[in-house]
Amino acid sequence: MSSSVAYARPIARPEAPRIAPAPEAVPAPRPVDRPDRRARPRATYAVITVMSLAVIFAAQLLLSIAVSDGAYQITALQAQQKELVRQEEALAEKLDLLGSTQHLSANAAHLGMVPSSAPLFLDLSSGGVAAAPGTVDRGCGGACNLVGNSLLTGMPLVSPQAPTATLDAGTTVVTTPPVVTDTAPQGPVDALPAPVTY
Amino acid sequence: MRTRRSRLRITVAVLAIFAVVSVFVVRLVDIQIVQAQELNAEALTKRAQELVTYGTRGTIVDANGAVLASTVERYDITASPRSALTGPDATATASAALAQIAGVTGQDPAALLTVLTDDPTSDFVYLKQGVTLDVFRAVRDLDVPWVYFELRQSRTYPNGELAGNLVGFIGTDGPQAGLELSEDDCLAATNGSATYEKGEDGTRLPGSLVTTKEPKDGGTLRLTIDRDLQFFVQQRMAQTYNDLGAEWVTAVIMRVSDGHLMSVVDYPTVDPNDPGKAPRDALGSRAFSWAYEPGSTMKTLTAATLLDLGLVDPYTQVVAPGRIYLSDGGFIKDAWAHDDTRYTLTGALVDSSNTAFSLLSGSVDAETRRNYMLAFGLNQETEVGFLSESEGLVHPTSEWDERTNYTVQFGQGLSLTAVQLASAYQAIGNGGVRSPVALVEGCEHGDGTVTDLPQGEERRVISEGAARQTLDMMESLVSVGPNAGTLQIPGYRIAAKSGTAEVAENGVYGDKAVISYAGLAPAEDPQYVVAVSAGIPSSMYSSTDIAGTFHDVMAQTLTTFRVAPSGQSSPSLPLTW
Repeated sequence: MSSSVAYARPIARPEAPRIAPAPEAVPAPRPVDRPDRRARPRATYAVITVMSLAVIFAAQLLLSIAVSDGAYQITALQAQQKELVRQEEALAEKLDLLGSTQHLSANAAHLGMVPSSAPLFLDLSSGGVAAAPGTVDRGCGGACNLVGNSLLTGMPLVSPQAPTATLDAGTTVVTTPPVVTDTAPQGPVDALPAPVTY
Repeated sequence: MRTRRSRLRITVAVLAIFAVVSVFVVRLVDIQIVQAQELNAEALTKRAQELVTYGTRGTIVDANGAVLASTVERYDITASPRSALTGPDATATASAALAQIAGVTGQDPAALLTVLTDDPTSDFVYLKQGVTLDVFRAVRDLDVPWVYFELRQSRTYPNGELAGNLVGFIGTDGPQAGLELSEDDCLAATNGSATYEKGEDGTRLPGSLVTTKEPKDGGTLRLTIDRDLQFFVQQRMAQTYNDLGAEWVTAVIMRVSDGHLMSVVDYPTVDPNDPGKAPRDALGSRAFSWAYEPGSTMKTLTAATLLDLGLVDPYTQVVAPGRIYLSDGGFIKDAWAHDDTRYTLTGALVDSSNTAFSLLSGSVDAETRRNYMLAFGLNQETEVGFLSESEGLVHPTSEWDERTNYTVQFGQGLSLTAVQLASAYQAIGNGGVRSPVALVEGCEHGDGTVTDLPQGEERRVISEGAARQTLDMMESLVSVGPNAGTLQIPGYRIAAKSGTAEVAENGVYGDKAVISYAGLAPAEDPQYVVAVSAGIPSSMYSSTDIAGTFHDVMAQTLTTFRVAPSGQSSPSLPLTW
């Protein structure tokens, strides 16, 4: 600001003397020491400017490093998420297959389970017990599966030893005598013993 | 002088700056506005890569949410023979890598090497298609530089043949059969698109993915079918098929209150995971697509018609002759030879006398009788609209000759599908009101909306009183009829009717027969209709041979849906007088 005023005036000056030949002493103070006074602040400004530029560049660099690092982190997490989603889908697929009716019935038969031939209905409102129409066991107890499923080919059956082991290790199994034993038909003779549950 | 030059200099400088700025401005406007579109497009092709994003095809589930069909991801393992087979010792390195891959995929390493070396200049061969995630990861971890992977969607049917007749399957060209095809609008996904920017070496720049169109997943198709019941019934029908040496068997179970199908079984049937193995005529559902002459199960509808018209009641007396002679010298007879028998309407239904029903229905004009058949849902597709569903056929009365005029009333000379039969019985069980048949509960979309809800209106076919009387008569068949011992379920009142029909081939009745049983339980307040039928290559069999199947399917239905026992006995109606 101050410098532009100082230079503008000398340019306009030369014409002024013609109009006013008796010029007063123009206060053009200390033209000599001016550059001196300015030299010091200029160096400071330069240093400040350069340093702030350096700081800005450094900050920008750090910021962009942080941003791109974040971007890579996001990408890595997204890739991880994709892998996990795939894993989840693969497990869900396996679960559906393991939970398929054919797989369950084949394993139940393998473990010696047979369909109950004398199920009962409990009427909670009246506390009454009624015989439900039992499933007629056609002699194979679910072992002869006639509803094919090509996906189960080669699928291993569960080990019949496992449940016995857990039952022994745990608390003793309380077996109460069945209420309607006289009407309950026996399972196939060759079937494996199954835990009695009521 | 000096000042002038200065001014001039300043003016020139300003003008120069202005000129330069103007040039820049013009160029800027040119680039940013005038040429903006084509430049953007050009730039995009240089750095942006188009990408198709795939939506997932919807799942098919049963009424309880058990998965019958779902979409899974599979991976194709591909390789570039050109990069594999260049460089020193390339073949040895490649075969070593292939041996490792073959160890994971269970293929023959030599065969893989043949595939790879078949065309060494090629850049693409399939090593193995459609592997699971485990195999894909194992091969990927081998880190072979010239092996690549492609993702693709595949369809899996975890329950195999269970409901395979209904669900259908998907081939290489998309849906091929069943609900997969007919409900494709619900199930199909809409692909989306996205762009990403690639770096100099072709890698994707992080954070540059822009989705231009969101992919839309397909809806979840919920059926009315109960998977566990379907399994039992399918198992039982397969046994029936084997026991009888039948050509086909079907079973239909329908809920009386709303006409929803709980189970529709066909055997033989198709495993949608491997449809190539199924016989060609087992790829769909015969219960929907195969119309047959029903035989005596039709008499139930005839009795209901006559009762609704107020012409008869269960005690109406009729003398059934052994034969009714026609003007052309032919005659109508019963399945067994007999002299004049004094039947009540109930007795005529229990013993299934063709002559008695011919006499009783003869007093009603043909058009009225046909209209009742149409009201019961015959001669038209059900509301399900299953793929290649048959309408069945009830000829216009103008085409009925003297014989047909009688025979339609006991189920010969017209045809219907197993589902139509079950639907007609549903009307009788529902107090005379026929409900629209439904196989799909709805299509549930990702945004929570449900479409494809069951269509159609209920309609009254017969009066409530006529429906009640029909049920009472059908009960007599179970309580005192010839197959009573096989049919009864202790504690329950069952209403049923048998049918043994001859099958016409090329216009002539031959050796083949269709035997069937259809009925409702519990009779005092019907909850479920069961209709079983079998196509038999020999006339040696009668409906007696399928009575046990009907009993087992009905018993399981009552157990599955926890229908409480009746706790009362069936009404006792006189059969003769």
